[in-house]
Amino acid sequence: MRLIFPTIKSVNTRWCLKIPQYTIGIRVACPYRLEMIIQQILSYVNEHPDAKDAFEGIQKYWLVGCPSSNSEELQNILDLLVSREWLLISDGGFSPTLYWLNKDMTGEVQLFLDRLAGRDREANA
Amino acid sequence: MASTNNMKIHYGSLIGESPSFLRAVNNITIFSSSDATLLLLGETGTGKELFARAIHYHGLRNPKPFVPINCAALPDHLVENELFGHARGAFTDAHSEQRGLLAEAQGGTLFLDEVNSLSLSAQAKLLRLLQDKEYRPLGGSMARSADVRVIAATNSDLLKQVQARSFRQDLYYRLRTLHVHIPPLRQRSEDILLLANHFLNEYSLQYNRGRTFFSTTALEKLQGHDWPGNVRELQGVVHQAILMCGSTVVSDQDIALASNDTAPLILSGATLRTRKACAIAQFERTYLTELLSANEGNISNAARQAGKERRSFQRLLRKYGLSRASFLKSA
Repeated sequence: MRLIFPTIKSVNTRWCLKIPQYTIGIRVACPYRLEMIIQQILSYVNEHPDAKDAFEGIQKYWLVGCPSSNSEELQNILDLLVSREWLLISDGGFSPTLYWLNKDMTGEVQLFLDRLAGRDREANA
Repeated sequence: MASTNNMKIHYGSLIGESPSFLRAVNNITIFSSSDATLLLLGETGTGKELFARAIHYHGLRNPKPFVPINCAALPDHLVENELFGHARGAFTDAHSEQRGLLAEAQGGTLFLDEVNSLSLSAQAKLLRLLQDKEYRPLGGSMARSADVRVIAATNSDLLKQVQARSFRQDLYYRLRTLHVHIPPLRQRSEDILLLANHFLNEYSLQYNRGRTFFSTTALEKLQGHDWPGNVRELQGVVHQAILMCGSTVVSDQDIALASNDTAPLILSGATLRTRKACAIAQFERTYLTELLSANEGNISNAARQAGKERRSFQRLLRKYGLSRASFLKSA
């Protein structure tokens, strides 16, 4: 199995609270839903750092309790997270593409989740 | 969502209320707590991968990988390389070490779909893995421990294959330590409308169609069909129906079943947008089918020929429910 490492190298750790900017080009019906889905996927891998699954498993099991997302939207989100190097993917010739947490980026993912949680707390206060 | 013992349990897309289906679902709860090898038996399109995932995610290995592999897609001479990986220098082109699918699945579940397609030599390797819980990458000097649960699935009668000597008897009994029979849709007719409405909601969301309903005649047509392709066929029929449908109500004319798929492709009254979407969908499906057929299921080659990136090509295949396995030379 060959691992593909995303080509985007200029990761800006300050983009964390700038999701709308970052998601330019992603077709979504509702930006808040997009944010929730990203948060859910990252929370899942953060909590289960050894988890690994294909698209169908992510859609059905990593996103439990999340608003419904169509396939194109979810694929765009996964591509986005791979391009940020937060998720890694396999490109096995005879198995579907698998996605998992890039453990080298755990700190950045945690920071992102903390900031989102902090913002939600402020909004609810 | 299946419910057993009055408890709502999340089982991904396993949807049904019929007794035969619930019996199968009930086995998930029981078998999830075990680590034994499991064999899923069911016709094509019954959702064997969904069951395998449900067992993984309800079991002790749920925080670990779930790695699905379609054995029918594995060329015999690459089985060992794909499953076990290879060491650097194992063969001429092995410039670096490559992890196999077993290493990818370490700690989790390896799902072997269409296990009946494995050649006898591949079966021997799988048997050795199941017995010894160890494997050796090609060209490697050290044996590695395989900490995986194996779930296998087949749509063929393995016992007949055993009698015909095309499947190893010892592997058959090793695999069926635990087994679940997944009923075909025709034996769970109570679930047809439940599933149809579920898919209708999914596709309505995907195509931003708002709330959509089936007409009474459409429901009768769905209920009266035999569904030889099972849930996958039903999903495809609903997918096409939502594209054909020009309003919020899906009529019986929008339902193109295998026996009457000569129904008019463009319905009167449909908007330009709908007709266009329908025409594009039909073109894309035909194009992809021809392309995969010409490339004998080789996704990389087909994607290159289509001028598309491999992953976006796979996305298209998923959209139309096309599986590369159906286009392999031997298929």
